[in-house]
Amino acid sequence: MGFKYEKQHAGISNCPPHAYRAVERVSFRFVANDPPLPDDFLPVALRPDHEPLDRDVRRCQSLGLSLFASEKAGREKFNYLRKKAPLIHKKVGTMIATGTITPKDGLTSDIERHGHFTLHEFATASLHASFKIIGTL
Amino acid sequence: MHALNGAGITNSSLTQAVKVADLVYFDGPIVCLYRNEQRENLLYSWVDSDDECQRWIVTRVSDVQLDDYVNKKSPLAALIAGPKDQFLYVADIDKHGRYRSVTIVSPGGLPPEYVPADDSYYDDEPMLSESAPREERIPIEGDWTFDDLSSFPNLYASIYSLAYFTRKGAPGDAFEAYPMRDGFSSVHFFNTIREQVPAEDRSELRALSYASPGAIVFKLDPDVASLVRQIYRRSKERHEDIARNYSATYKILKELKLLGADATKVNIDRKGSDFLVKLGNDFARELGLEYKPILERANGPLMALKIVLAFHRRLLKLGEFETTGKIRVPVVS
Repeated sequence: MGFKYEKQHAGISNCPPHAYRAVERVSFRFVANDPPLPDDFLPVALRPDHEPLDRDVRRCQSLGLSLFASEKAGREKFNYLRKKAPLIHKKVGTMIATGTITPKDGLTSDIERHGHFTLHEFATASLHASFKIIGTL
Repeated sequence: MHALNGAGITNSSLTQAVKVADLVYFDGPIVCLYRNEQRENLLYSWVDSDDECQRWIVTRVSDVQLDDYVNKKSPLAALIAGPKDQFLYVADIDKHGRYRSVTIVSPGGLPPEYVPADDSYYDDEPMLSESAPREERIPIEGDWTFDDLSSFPNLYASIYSLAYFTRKGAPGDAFEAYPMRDGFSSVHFFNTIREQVPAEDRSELRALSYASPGAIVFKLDPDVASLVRQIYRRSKERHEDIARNYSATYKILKELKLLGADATKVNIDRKGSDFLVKLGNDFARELGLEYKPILERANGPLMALKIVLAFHRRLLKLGEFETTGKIRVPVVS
């Protein structure tokens, strides 16, 4: 199955990384709109304010979506960031949404430190339609 | 964005600064380390944005301040509230990296929304930029003996070289088989693997300046140097757990009469072999070291385990240099 940002993947080595797998997982994401819009699921590399990155591993990561394996992990990360930058909601959104990603949605990393993981979407994925807001940040 | 109470400047030297690492990153950089032409640290902390620009507070920080921040001894708030220069820069940078404006402000004049929380402690791993230097500058102080001067570069190179094989995975040659039954074997082993690191990435002593504050500068691969720093920091933070684990592993090997055994000749059945792999894996994980590449290259699980134990002893020696005030292991090269 093709990736949603296949064209952007070209020229980046090991992207998505070989270790990424198709899984079913209840997931959480910071969003700015209720109900969520496609823009809430735009990888950072495609946002207008995106800063060009110089390393393949980072360029690849920025074409994936940041998700959390639990609401608690998401909220803890948001609070961690807000302590450094009180206006962080301008960057990441003001709400947290949840939905279940399935093997049809793309390939994911393992759950990393602090419950974060990355999803590289397949072309047919449409997460904004299946994610629901569960609270404000 | 919020109005600023400060003095705008033109031709800021900030524009010459080069990014060394993202210290906090989530869907874009939040806190970054830059260096200027004088090799001074500039901490960029994201505070605001509009359709045109990202706004950053920039503060010059000393190596010690940076160390304290990354080692969770002081929060970001302390660096913003008490800048080295007594003032801060606020830089508006567009998506092309152009500085649209630079304003000098006093810490007390910042909008409250730009001030980090009192407990804004660090809990991330620095991510190096491509422009990170291919060298490690380790500040030195105090009284160095001739023996220190000759042993320290070897010690650092030994740690770097094993870390290199766990991070880079190449080249695929096996480690030369050493019995690993005493300190001499370990020394020979680490000397050998230093030579196995490809020449372009091999740790080389580039400069030594003994003036106070002095520095030892190594040429090396920045990713591996970063890994060494992470492992060292982790081993300091978890030294009690690691010491307990080392002691338990040592006792088990003694009990099994494997401590003085020749790792290249000893016969170990499947069950014993699995047990040694588990011991090595657990201890390596405690150190933050990937075990599989070591196991794959070593001549059996006993040699692999002893390599990791010897690696730990070298980390302890590195720690002794720091606790006696002779070096300070930097946060970022």
